[in-house]
Amino acid sequence: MLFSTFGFIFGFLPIALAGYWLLARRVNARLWFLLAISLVFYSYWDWRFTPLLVGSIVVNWTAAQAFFVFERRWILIAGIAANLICLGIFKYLGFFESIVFDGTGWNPSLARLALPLGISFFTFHNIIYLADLLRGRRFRYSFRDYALYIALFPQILAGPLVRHREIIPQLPMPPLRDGWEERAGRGVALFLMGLGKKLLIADVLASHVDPAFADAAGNAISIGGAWTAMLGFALQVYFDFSAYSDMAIGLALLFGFQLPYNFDAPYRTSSLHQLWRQWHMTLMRFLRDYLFLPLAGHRPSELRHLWALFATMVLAGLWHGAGWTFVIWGALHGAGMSLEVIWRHRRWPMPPTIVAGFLTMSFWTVAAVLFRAPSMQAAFNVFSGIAGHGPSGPVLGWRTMIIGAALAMIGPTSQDLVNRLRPWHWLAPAGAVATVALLIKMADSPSYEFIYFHF
Amino acid sequence: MSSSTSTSERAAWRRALWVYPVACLALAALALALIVVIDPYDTGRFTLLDGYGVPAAFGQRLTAASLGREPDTDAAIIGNSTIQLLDPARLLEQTNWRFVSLAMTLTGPIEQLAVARWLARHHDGKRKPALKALVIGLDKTWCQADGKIDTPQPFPHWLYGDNTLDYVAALFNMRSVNAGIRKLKVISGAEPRLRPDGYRNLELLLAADGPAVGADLDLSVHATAASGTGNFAAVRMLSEFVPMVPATTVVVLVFVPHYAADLPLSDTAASREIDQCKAAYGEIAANRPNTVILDYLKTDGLTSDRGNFWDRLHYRMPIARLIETDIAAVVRGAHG
Repeated sequence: MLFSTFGFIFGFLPIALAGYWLLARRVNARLWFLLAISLVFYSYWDWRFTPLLVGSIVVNWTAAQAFFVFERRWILIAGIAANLICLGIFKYLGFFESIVFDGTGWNPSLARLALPLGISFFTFHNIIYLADLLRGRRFRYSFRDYALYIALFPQILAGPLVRHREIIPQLPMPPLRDGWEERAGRGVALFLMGLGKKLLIADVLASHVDPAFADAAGNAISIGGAWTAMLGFALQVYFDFSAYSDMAIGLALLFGFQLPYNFDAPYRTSSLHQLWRQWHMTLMRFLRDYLFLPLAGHRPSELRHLWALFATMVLAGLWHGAGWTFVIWGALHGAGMSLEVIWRHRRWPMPPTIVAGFLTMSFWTVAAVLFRAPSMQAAFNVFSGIAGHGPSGPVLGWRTMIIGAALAMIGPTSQDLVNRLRPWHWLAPAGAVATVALLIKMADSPSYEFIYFHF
Repeated sequence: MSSSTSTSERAAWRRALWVYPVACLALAALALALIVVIDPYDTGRFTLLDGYGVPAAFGQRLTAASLGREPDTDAAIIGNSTIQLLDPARLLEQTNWRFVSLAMTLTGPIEQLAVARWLARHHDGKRKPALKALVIGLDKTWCQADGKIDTPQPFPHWLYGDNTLDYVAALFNMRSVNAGIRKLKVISGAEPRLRPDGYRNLELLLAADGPAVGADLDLSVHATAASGTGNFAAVRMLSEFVPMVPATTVVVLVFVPHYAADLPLSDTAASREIDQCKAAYGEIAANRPNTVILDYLKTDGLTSDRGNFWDRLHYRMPIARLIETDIAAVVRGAHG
């Protein structure tokens, strides 16, 4: 169920909120109810994958219990491996097959499985938990709480990637504890901002970007089409995913939970390192803690640091999608960030902030073509158009791009705005005007799936 | 997240949480009521702005609610692009009746009959004057098994159906807001109104945005079977519709001409199926007084002449003039 649909806003959400708040004083019933509606939410997409989600919860929780009883580390290692194998089977089998075929000419003809929604996210949640146990931290949770950590509906499909110790301690807290009014009010505001970003910017850009990349998949495209594709997507992906994150965090607040923020004005930046610290922050903190730091070790040499950084970014690329475009996208970012490390270590003179910001955003925007392009050939066709090869053509959606770029680079972040809100008299009426306007807009807009649902 | 401290601020948040949903409901109801009374598609339902028509540039599918309830209309033409070339102005000259064209491109029997039912409800011969004539263009889609066609966009059944709730619900969106704004522009004179006879010259539209003239006219390739089953869903649909039409209305069923290559060769299974289909419609005509069939859906000199066609489906002006003359003759004859 997309957050930006009538079925969710007027069907699922009111039922979920009413049930949850009616059970506010009964911890056990409230949390089982939350788990049940979260599974309903997940099943709505494709019920055939619900057994996979439930199985994943049961197996990982059981592995943890077995570890607490038998104190054997291999149980956790086997659990982490099982998660990775499961992700590999569902997400990377086709890619693996194409590599084998390209390399040897032999086609293994493996079964192509549909990608279960959210698998990249719930697999990482499981790994976070098992890896923390492996590091000697003894977090022991009830089945109900662990299942909610994995399946909680605001974050099941595309994060934020939450740490278990961030969310599970919040579960038993009474929803009516001090400040519930403010949390709920800010939750509504954040959800509305996300809805606005999605409908008014991301989806408008998608209506130009999608056809441009579809064209590029087949043949050379116009110069204007190539610029539409490149600039439009760089902005679309930010507004789409940050809108999703705003809505997820806002929804969680309506249930009394604070999820970590996921974006902090990443396009207002002067280096790739800074951009990545402010972009999809919960993924980057996961990759840092569970990949980069173990690979780099304590006080690494420059070479080992660079190697760990590069490997982490290549794997980050691969996490986003099974294909060479994603691998190369990750490798480019690994190379760019490595260059920044070398530059810093050598104390070479730094360019002025505005120049550094321009270079960083140009790099990001060009690389994002690989992130979006359905094939290397499509990416090449876009780059070819950017380089001026091809017929001229209009840049579509440029007004939305200008507004989007201004918001992304100058405007405040959603969380800044929401945290500055006070319960002014006009706040609720203004929110209602925005809501009704967005609903009217939503009613006949084609609904574009959130980009990150595919990862 | 910052946390409010004062009791008054908490009370203010609590109040905002109550005001917000109430204000949302009130505003949504107000916005919907406003769209309903503006009546963007001129349906005459709950409107305060009746009789202003719709903008000339509206899509065909959104215009028939307005055109189809015009009380001064004497006769109407229903069909798709294959009937669109018939000109109400010329029919007026020959019959002295005011015709309205409700032709809609890319529609089949299901969509056209939805429009026909709307038309019949607004010319029921009881509270509203009956039509003198109703012309329905039958092309090959009326002889298909299921009568369904692929339409690139969903047809607005909510606009022509009799379910008020469907209609009102379908108004709550940006498309209807924009349509409402355009209607206000028509009222203020800032945008031209659609002519009340609904005519749009198909040849101008094809020239602007269609295939080149004669591009697919090739008599060496012939169409094969239409449905292959011998069942024609549209026959049943039409026979269910016909009783809605007042008995005094002359119903003219026009089998529209297709280019001969679009018809099966004679004495084949496919051609026998077309004959079977025509016979089924003939039975409807035989069972209802005041019903005439004009049949141009056959291979003859008219349909074998490339000069008479734009493409395989669309005849050109000479044939349109001929059909208009024939229609005028039969309706005049029927009304003595």
